[in-house]
Amino acid sequence: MINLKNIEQAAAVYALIAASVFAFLSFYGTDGETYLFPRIIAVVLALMSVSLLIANWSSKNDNRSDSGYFAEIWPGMVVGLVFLLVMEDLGFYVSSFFAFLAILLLYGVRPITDIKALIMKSSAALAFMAILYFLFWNGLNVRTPTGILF
Amino acid sequence: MDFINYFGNVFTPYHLMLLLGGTTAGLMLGALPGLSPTMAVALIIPFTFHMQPDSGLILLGAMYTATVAGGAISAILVNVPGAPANIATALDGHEMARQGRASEALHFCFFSSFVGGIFGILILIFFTPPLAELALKFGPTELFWIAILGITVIGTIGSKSVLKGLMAGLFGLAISTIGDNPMLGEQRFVYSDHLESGIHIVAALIGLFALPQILTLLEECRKGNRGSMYALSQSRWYQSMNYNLRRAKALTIGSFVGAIVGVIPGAGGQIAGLVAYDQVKKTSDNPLNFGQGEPDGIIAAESANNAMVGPSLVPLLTLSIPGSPTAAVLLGGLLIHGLFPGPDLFTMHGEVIWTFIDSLIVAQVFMLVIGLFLSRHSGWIMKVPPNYMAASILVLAVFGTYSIQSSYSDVLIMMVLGVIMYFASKLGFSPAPVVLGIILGPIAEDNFLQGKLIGEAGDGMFNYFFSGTINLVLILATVGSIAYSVYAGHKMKKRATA
Repeated sequence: MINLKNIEQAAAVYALIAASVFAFLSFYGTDGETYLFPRIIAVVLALMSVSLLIANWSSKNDNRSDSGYFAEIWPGMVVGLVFLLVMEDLGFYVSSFFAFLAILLLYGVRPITDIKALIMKSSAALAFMAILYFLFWNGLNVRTPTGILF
Repeated sequence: MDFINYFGNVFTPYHLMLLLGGTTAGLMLGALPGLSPTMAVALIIPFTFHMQPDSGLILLGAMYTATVAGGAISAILVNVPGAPANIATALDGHEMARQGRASEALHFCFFSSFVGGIFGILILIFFTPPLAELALKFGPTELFWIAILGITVIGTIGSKSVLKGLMAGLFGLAISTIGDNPMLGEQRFVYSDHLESGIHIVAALIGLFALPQILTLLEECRKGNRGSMYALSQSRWYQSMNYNLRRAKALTIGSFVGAIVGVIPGAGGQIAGLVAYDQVKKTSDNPLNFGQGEPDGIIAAESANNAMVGPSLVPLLTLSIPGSPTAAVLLGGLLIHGLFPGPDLFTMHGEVIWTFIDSLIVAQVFMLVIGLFLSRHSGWIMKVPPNYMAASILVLAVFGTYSIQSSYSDVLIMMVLGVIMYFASKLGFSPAPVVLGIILGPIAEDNFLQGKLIGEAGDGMFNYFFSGTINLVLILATVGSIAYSVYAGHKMKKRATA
């Protein structure tokens, strides 16, 4: 029986799923010449996934770390997602300022309602953006999305 | 001895100022994730329009050498390689930083870069004609086997399991096939407009390294690990230099591998660093220490990626074939100044070219001095709280990715790959083989398809791919590499259980 709490078996199972999806996409309804190289990779990848599974079949230790880490990272992932969604509309520097500040506040020691910490973190975010702006936008002429502001 | 005759041209106040400015800017730009040497040189080309050809090339050369070394700063301090060439440096460099030895790791990085860089330039000066002949002998099959050899090297890099390392490399190869077929031009796996241009290597590099690092830092915040991330002790540069010079084997392997890979058109510093790292690990008495903060890992990787710089200019200057992506941008810089590479370049524009080559030697000295100064003062990065570090890396990652080709799709791809890599790393997969797979994918596929066409039109595919001295040597090296990886894996397992 496959034990998904075993890191090696879980890795083999997920890799086999990924290899199977890749093989399906490479072989199903595609041109043999165009997809020749991906097909070769898909077959080798699937064989290796099976080898990994067989090599670790007898390993039954629950050595996979607790999946509780998702609870710790999801606020950061939401910030990243919102950052991506608004970047083109708000502009890179404005949206970056808010994303920077949001991470400082959400993962800071002091509570979000602490005004002193809010001012300090806003200043840090503003300073970081100002350095980026003057160095790259003005100095090196590197262009980023401007959006409605700059 | 033409190169000695023109040495004096480098030591004018104006040229020394350009070298100082180019090296300092190169080290800083190189340390930013996403601002690869290629992009840094491309960014600076417009500034050279109004300069004399020799002055413009001096600035471009200084930027090239310094950005390759500068990429190691972020690789060591925050585990995000500034450029693909510094992937191997992060493997042991960041581990040393975690152990409070960041300053020592940076010293090793700059000393090794200096030694490798000087070696590479000497190769450029003395071996340009024979190396150009060797580079000419590399056809599609030789380049295909070079890529396959690189893929077999993947197995032992950054992964505890050879099989997982090879699988991660194959995932990289699979990702590299998204986009146009290199021969037929037809699109593959393009299920969204964002994938139309394929996966850009720098976007993938940033995503695969930076995003997992950001998420790990956020984890640390929630677990209560705040304030100074790692302890930091200052080490004396002359002690590091002594140690560095005693690691002759790692320096030699790194420098030779870098020079050989550099001269092969299209290979680039990323392959040089990883191959050198792998070879030093395989020949080490303590292979288990690699990945745990082994200085030899940094020494080999950094000497290799800087030793690649000089030789990568050999095919560029003699045959107009760039030895690396950055050399390709430099080719643009040469053409802007009316210098057309080829056999006549050294006779018609000898003064400009030899001044440029001589300036690369002086740039190495500047890089060492400024690098050591920066390593003494870059320790503050280690004291930045993890939430500030995560926020900074996020903004820089998005900025660096967007600025590659002003593409929002690149940012999206970078984020998606990064999140997948974060979860894959929890299963024991490492990002380095994936990146190497993405780099080698186009080289392998393009040359495989070319070789297939040529072979089918001649004596058959098998004959074409399995004949010729260089092909046979490369095939033997590939088989030997796989066999040794399996053997070394077993040996390491035995040692670990003993």
